[in-house]
Amino acid sequence: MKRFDCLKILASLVDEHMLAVTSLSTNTPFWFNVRPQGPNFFALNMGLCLPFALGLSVAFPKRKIIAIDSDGSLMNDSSSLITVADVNPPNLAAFVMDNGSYAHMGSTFTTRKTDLAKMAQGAGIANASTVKTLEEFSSAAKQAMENVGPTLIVAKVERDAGRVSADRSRTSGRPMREWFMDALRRHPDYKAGR
Amino acid sequence: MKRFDCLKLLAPMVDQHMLTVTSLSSNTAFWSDLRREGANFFGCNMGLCIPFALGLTAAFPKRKVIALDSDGSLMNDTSSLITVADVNPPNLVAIVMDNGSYARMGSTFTTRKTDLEKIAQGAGIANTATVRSEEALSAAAQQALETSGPHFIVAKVEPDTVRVKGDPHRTYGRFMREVFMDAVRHHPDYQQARK
Repeated sequence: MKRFDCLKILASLVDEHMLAVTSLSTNTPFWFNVRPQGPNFFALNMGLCLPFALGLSVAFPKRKIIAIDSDGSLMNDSSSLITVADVNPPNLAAFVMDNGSYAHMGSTFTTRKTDLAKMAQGAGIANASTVKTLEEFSSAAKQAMENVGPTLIVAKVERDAGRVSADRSRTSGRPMREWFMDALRRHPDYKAGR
Repeated sequence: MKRFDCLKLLAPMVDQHMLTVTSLSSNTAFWSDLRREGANFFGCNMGLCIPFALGLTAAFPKRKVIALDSDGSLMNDTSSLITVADVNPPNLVAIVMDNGSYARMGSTFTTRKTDLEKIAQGAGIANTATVRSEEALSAAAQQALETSGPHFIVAKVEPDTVRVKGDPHRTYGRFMREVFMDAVRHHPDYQQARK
């Protein structure tokens, strides 16, 4: 299963008012390719993708928040799963693209033994599963969009050969944040701080 | 089940050459009372107890290293369990005293849903157990000390109502570290670093 195919399927399920958050590396350029518009926060540092999405899920309780995380990133702060389980946001859908390696560093293993879905279940997230084919991914993703309660889907993907890049002015740094904040301010649910 | 009773039961199982590491709070105060000799590192900050013990297992491969952690501390860095599973040290025994709360702060919940044993299994640690009685803890600890690990045991204990203080010189700061380093230097397995 290829990461890009998964994200293409996911993009077709995401409407214009849902908020998306991506981890560093391949998730960012791919997601920018399939969903350039709408509120996207790109390239959160390792471990911060899920916590950031958790915050958004509280700020926008009526919209689905899509966290597009990866295994190396989630393993940097697997404790955030405990916080997700405890806060129990009804509108958070987390997708972990698990290629089993820090692929950007030339395929070093992240771990050889860990089952992230089981860790999430242990943390207390009831809807946590692992998918290995595109059909499974597609049906799990559809389910996640309808579920009430946090959902975590670990998608076992191949390592991507070749490095993909995207428009850096849209996916990193201050311009990306300005773009994101602008999308938030125009969001129908947005209320300005008092 | 009370934490002090658990630790009292563990103390005689630990021989003089094993190394122990404790998390902050009650574990430190109780354990410093129960094990006055040997290599003990007390009061590792939150999340650091198991990683510190993991380092010691590499330095002392022939001895059991016992991490006396607690739930609040471990939840600060559950990712360390992934590293433990990956390094797979045969001589690590991690015992987590789980009272379900940050008791020192006036019993705020740590979490209402988490199963730390399942997180450890998910991380890839094969030998895990959750114990709710002293007999079960005794049996699990005995097995963990006699067989090849890593072992991970969650002991469900009551929150302690009384605040116990260990001797601050022996459990905190530079003096504690000096005592620990002294014990390590006198350890029969200790080898001076090559220069």
